[in-house]
Amino acid sequence: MSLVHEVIVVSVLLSVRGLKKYFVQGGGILGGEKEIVRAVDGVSFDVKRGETLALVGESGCGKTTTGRLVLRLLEPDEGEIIFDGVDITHMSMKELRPFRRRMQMIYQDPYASLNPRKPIGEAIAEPLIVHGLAEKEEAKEQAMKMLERVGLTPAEDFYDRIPSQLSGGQRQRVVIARAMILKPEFVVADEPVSMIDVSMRASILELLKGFQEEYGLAMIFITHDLSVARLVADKIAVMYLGKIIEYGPVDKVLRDPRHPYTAALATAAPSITMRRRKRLDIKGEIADPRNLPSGCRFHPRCPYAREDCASREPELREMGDGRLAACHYPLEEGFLKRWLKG
Amino acid sequence: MESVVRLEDVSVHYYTFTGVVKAVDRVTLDIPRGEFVSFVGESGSGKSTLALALLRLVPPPGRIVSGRIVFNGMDLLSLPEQKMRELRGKSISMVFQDPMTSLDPVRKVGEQIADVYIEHGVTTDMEEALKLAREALEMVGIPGDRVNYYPHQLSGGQRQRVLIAAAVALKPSLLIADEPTTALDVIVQAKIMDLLEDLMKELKMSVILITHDIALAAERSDRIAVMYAGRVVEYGPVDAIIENPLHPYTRGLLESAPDLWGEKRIKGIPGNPPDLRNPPRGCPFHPRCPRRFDPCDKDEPEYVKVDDRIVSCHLYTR
Amino acid sequence: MPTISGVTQQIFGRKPGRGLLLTGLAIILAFVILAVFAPWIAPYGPTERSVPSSLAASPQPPDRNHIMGTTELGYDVFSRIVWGTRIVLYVVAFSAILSMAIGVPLGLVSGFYGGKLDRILSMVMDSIYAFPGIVLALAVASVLGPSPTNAAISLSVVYVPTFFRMVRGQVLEVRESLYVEAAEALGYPNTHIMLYHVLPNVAPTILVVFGLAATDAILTEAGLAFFGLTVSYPSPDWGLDLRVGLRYLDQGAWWATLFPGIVITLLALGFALVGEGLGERYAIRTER
Repeated sequence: MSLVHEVIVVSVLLSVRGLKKYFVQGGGILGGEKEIVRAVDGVSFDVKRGETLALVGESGCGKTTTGRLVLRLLEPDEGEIIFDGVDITHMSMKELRPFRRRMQMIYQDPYASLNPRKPIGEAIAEPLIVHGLAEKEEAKEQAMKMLERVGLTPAEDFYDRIPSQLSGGQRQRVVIARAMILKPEFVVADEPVSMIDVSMRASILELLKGFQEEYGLAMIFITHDLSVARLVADKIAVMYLGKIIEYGPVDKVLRDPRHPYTAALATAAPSITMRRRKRLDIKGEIADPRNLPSGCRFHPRCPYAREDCASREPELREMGDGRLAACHYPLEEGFLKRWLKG
Repeated sequence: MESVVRLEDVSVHYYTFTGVVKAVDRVTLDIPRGEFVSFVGESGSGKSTLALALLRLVPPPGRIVSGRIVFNGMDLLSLPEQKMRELRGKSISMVFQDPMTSLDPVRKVGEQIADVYIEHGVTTDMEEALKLAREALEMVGIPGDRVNYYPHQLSGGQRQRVLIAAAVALKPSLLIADEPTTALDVIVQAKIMDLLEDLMKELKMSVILITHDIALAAERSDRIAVMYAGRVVEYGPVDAIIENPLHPYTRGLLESAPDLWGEKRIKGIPGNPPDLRNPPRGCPFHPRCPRRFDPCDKDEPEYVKVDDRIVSCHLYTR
Repeated sequence: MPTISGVTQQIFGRKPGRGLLLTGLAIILAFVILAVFAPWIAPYGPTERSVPSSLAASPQPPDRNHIMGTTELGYDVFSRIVWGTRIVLYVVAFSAILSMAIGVPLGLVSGFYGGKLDRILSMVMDSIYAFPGIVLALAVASVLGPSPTNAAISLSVVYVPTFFRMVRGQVLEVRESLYVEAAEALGYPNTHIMLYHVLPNVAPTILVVFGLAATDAILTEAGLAFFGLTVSYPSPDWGLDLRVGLRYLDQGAWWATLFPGIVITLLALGFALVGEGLGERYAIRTER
């Protein structure tokens, strides 16, 4: 054994390669075709310590499934999940337990993700006790501090309340407190503000950011709302029908998208400062994931699709500016700027 | 300016086991004919209850306890139930948030639209009604042959179009849309909102949009009514409200909304929404208000007219 | 920990089902008082000849000294009902608690873990459940022999599947809830999740089923007593008194059957109201 401790600065905390999850529907006793839903179909990305990756896309694009897969709340069908250099893809629930402490989940619906009959103070203290990090009294003390920290003050007034006695924003603070009391290194936040009243979103995002800075948290932030992604993320991955179709630094992707779908999303989102803007309209709605289009999955809706888009599936590839897009005929650089000018 | 609906001092209370909830509290305003008016508010602001009150469909334990709702010269609140039933769907229609639960899953969408014609006595012949339903579908951008589809065979956006087709089938003068796009994705949302705007012009309707999304309201409306704790705190033309919000809550709401093209930060409003069973004294917004002063925690502000706006705030009462 | 005021708030607070719950509890409480204070409330002992022997050959109608009349042996009907409350409550409470103690853990484990164990348990429970309750109870009680405790055990056999099915159904629902997934994401072991996150959330259902099972148990107990499978005459038991009284019904002695019948119905009603009230409060639908 060497006496010299080598300090290896591993900046990548989570690394996902070729992740796939297929769901099988139908095929019961009553017969019917067995149908395969390719919810996540070959997704790869890295998340560095202290960095936030936003996973965005419409409902059914696979963003939430991806989030649950990386935390091993769902069993992946293919691919690997490397957490801090350790392959956790096939670990048993028991082997996973020490990792669960280091990675946490924050859900969209804070009410549904809290036990309705458990006082919130106990819910926050519970992880410490279960993981053997503190005795009851000590855990209670820490939970009290945590309540103060997330703004549920005075803590004594809140400790014994049950979730139904709190507002939506307060409940989400409880969920965050419960996730953060274990001082995790990584968190998946699945639409953490989409059910919160608009006037309280800022404070929730602020809270998350505070913990991120304090713990050097790596974060996957799942959202359907590009404007929220822009506020919180360093990198962004736009998903469509189980695949990442564009990936890169958040401002680059949102201000100068190279994939037509990203441009369509960006121009469709309601905006107060650009009320009369020209939208890049795309046809129809997201395809049935049981029956994926051939070639590029986006081609039936794409205003710029050419003949071979229906036969060749595009790979995610470097666009020469530190960003990736999966498109045979990507938009030119500066497209969106010119488009919005008319 | 002619109005399609005028609300006078309308209050709706819910009588629950734990107390009286003043969901809508003395709302007075005019909705001009042919305009697109949005009611914007957060959860518990009373915006959905207000929409239901316009149709006299407030579910128990709720009750419209006072006021007048004047629609085309009639006070809806004093009409007999039979007359009100005739008006619903014919003169005032409503589109709800979740298109899946508003449609009957085991009946063809064409039949469900045809019902409207038969119920309101346009025709007694199902064949004839289905023909009209086909036309209604085409009007909302769905191929007419889809009358024979069942709801589950349609996408979310198409289902919402079906509901809109049923709602505008009899060319109402007022369409109320309660969060019609909240369950839909942004790209579909934009198209549904386009459809509402087109129908409004084509059928010379007025539209009331109920939404939590002030950016959506800002893009689509002629006028915005901002609601807080059952009160309309500010009401006026959209440009004035967006560019120069008078009520501190309106300002707060605008600064809370993340914007893809705006500043890369949002502010939010401190504190929590009030408990409507036990609302704060004085102005309901005062505990969260950055500009509160002397009278705010004592007296409730009256409505004040400022140019072409009305606002309920002590900053303007003197 | 639930505080005293929390519990009173639970029962007496202005919430749905309050009226049903309070009425039911009042009825049950009244019978509990009868049972506990029987020596002071009952004017006579249960097997005390309370009329002069000259009259003892035939049942006597209600009068000032015997508000519910007497039986053919001169026993005071009212006193026998008061004393009989003890047996009835003992059998009913014992059987409801015993079937809960067995049915709830089995339903919990079966619903939570699923798999082979679940399939076997479900099959066994369903086949017991398929028997008519009274027939099953009679069969088991005949095998075990007459005694209040044996009657309670045979009633438990009937109600274990009721608890099992309801609890298992609820567990399947709770197991799908997000807060259970959240508990998994926090790295809690299964037993911890089951005891601290699933069980508390099926507790209201358990209370409702308890009410329903107890209601049913009163009627079935009366049936067992009717056939002499709880106590032997002349020990007091409502169902047994009902049968003995029946013999004198054609002599016009309606009081010897009517009053035991009324108290059986009344106590059953008390438990039924509690069950319904809880069901309404927690919006729990019961399959029966």
